[in-house]
Amino acid sequence: MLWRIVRFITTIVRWAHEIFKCRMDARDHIRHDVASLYRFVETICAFCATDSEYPAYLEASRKFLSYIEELGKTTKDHLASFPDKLPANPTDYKIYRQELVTLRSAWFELHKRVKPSADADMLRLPAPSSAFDLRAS
Amino acid sequence: MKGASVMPSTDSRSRYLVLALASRSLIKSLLVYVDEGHADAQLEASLNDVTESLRASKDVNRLFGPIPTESPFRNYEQVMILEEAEEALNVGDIGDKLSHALRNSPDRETRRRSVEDAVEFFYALENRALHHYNREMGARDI
Repeated sequence: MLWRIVRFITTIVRWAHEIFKCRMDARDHIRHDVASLYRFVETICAFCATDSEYPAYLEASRKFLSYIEELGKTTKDHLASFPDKLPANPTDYKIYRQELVTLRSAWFELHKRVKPSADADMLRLPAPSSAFDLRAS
Repeated sequence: MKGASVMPSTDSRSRYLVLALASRSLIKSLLVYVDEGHADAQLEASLNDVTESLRASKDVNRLFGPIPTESPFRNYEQVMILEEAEEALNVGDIGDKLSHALRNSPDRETRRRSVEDAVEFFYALENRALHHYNREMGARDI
């Protein structure tokens, strides 16, 4: 009889351990996804710094890059607190995890537009130097 | 509306992504509604928009389906995915469930149960939109 009770308790403890392990695994995966997306957003934002005087941009590009920089800050803040907002029930994780995929896709689209804008500073565009020449003449 | 394949284009890819983002925004608003107990006007309007789009796509008297607008649920690709998600979920009349999702009950558990199907529906919608978005990305690279 005692042997059966011990076996029952051991089985329960093992199950509890497995459930806890699965939950931790799922949390770790989400944390990994969050970290990866954070780095991706940070890489894109590195192109968007408009504080310094060089490189100089036309007004439209400057506004666009500032906007992306601001969006990046908000996204990074959101991602930093993301693991704390996970629900207690691991079966709901899938709903939260998919948000990371959507955000990554959105940032992927933005990334394609950021690089050409960041490259188009005033030294590389013909328009500002032409405007200067016209004003000088 | 079903079974048609369209050539991948930037426009249709954007529409899939817009649909995924709109679905995510609705999921978040619904979860806030469950926690806080009040729905913003935007959430109610968006749910009505989805319901109306589903209804219009099934209306046999309308030859061309819903008229495309600024809404993220009205374009051809978006309506197709709405129908796809509804079929896959198989929970009965989803339009009806969305219309009655916001009951403003004081009890959190009741609110959670009333939006459960809606959250599942928008999750499926986001999932499918992302799938089509990624598939078109692949098609473009070939």
